[in-house]
Amino acid sequence: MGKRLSFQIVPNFENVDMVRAALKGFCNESYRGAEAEARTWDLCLAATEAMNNAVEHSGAEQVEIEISADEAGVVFRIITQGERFDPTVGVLMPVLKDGEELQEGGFGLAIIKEMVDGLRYEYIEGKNVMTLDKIIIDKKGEGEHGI
Amino acid sequence: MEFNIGMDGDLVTMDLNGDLVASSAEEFKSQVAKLRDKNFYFILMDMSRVGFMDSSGLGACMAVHKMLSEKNGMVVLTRLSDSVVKVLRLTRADQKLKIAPTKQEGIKILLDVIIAERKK
Repeated sequence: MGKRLSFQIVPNFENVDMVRAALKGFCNESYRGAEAEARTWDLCLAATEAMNNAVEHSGAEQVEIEISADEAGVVFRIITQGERFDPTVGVLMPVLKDGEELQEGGFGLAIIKEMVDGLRYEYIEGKNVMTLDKIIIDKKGEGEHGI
Repeated sequence: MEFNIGMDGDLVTMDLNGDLVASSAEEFKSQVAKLRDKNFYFILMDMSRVGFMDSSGLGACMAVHKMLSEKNGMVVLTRLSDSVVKVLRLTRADQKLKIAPTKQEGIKILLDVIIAERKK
């Protein structure tokens, strides 16, 4: 039997902090074992980056968040109304070359890709839907179920 | 986010307490900008109580690095949690930002730079 939590938030950074806290609690109940803390942290970081992007770039007045979990893993879904924008295409981690100055931005989407086991984008009825999956690891350290 | 600031000559130690994320990044940069405006260019950031950092927090660290480098100063990050180290490694920012494992080592790095700057 799965668990599910949903929010409708005004996109601002204080609400991002609130959702992250809720997601952390949700993950703590779902992940077990030695990798639990790291997997919780990975999904919280990816979700934070996804929400930050929505705050900064979506222009939406409301953002829908859905968090769900079952025996396979935890799924974080973020839904915004607006123009189609697929963040999963062509996102690479910026490479710092010798002598090059540090950049302040541009890491968010690349971090999301690194942190999750699955990343999907859909455009449904005028809404951008981004889904982040983080599977549950069994005692042997291998994924029990791929999502 | 809470900031505890200590000063010893030209050296400033700043203890950060809380998550370094988008909601706190501007305040963090503003605190450092105030120090820079008062001619403090050498800062040790104790990040042992930063439990979570996102790319906005990383961007703030980079902005602080740039802000102080422009004044021939330096920021050294110390006592990083595993999660903060993970973000720095993932983005390769650990190759650009100065990091010291302990406060003592961070202070030594900064004092050496301060002495070198005075000799110029």
